[in-house]
Amino acid sequence: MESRYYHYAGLRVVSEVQLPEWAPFEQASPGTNSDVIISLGGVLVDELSGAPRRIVTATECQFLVPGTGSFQVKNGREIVVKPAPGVAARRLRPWLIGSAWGALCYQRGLFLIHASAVMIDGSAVLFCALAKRGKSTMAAQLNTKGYPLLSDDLCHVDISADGVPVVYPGAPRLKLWSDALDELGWDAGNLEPDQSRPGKFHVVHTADPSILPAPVRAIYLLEWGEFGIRRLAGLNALQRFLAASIYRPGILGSMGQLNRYSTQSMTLLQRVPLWELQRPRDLAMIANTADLLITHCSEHRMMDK
Amino acid sequence: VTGKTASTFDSRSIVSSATNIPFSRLDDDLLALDEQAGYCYSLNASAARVWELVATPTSVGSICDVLCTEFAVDRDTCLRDVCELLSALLEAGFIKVTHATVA
Repeated sequence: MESRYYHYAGLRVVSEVQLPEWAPFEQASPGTNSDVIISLGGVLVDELSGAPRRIVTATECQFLVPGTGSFQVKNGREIVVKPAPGVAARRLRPWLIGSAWGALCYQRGLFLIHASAVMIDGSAVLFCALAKRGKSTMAAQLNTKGYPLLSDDLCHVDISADGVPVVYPGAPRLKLWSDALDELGWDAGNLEPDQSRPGKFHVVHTADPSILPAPVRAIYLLEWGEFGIRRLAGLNALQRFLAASIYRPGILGSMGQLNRYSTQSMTLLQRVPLWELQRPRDLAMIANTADLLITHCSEHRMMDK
Repeated sequence: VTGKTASTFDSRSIVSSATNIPFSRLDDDLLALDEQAGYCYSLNASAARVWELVATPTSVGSICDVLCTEFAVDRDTCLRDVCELLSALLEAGFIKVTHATVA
């Protein structure tokens, strides 16, 4: 079977599954030793066998997506995919590069944040939000205004070095609700539906492969309300960030890694300001919100200097 | 915190920190994540100042001396609040107390 090679989120990946979403990160040759192997095989966990749909331990994560396939993630190093009979690869991939990849990163102890990231004037701005609070829509709106999308949905942030944390560029896919797509003037007809929630779509953008890990300048927590931006600090900031930023908290908890995530979050918030951005729950206000955000970013950049 | 533990302290009690769990500053708060227990301990600005002072063995009275000059608080209130905080810290195993009889 032909293998593909990717250098993604700082990891070298060899995959038997072609991942068009990761095309900007594809390499012609394997390079040095691979960090991660994605292969096809294993056993399809039978939906009717009574086996649990999900098994999660510190080093192994196995889950079944009914009608799609089963996924085994082991030791932070290996993902084995067993597609259900006749299932199209494009239906497998959201689970592979979403939940399975997320579990693998957690196994490696990486700091994976449920956020989208946009480049603004040379550094990254992250958006966190509780579900359906518009983090992808915000990133997409900024993208249409010419600010490069760095990552959507999942951000691998590296806090290992002293100083400003960096975020790796990620898969250029945007999950958006269909009404938000209308607002942005994009056609929902050609997009692949996100199976997990009706009305949500993956929009495939072209990422700039030249983008390197970018310094994280600010994090915005998106909320509905009157227009306004305020700084969150101390314990309150940590609590609000944890509530909004954990990707698949059930998996992270079963792996016994919630404490590690909390410590990583604390380090991040010591180095990067967390702002709460409130705006009305009105799609017609998306453009105003983006303008407010850009103004706020540039004001604080001036203050930093 | 019970009345009994609250009366553990008087102004001559010597207190000092007794934990390996590191506190680190996040804005005005001092936070400590106890990874074993899964707790996050949080100290506000004045409590954080007390924590700094007990890094070396210090009497409750001299803690109050410092707080009364740095925060807008009267001495009786300060002593009561400090004793309450120290009781909580003692219960969490963060400090140890020596009952000094010397002046």
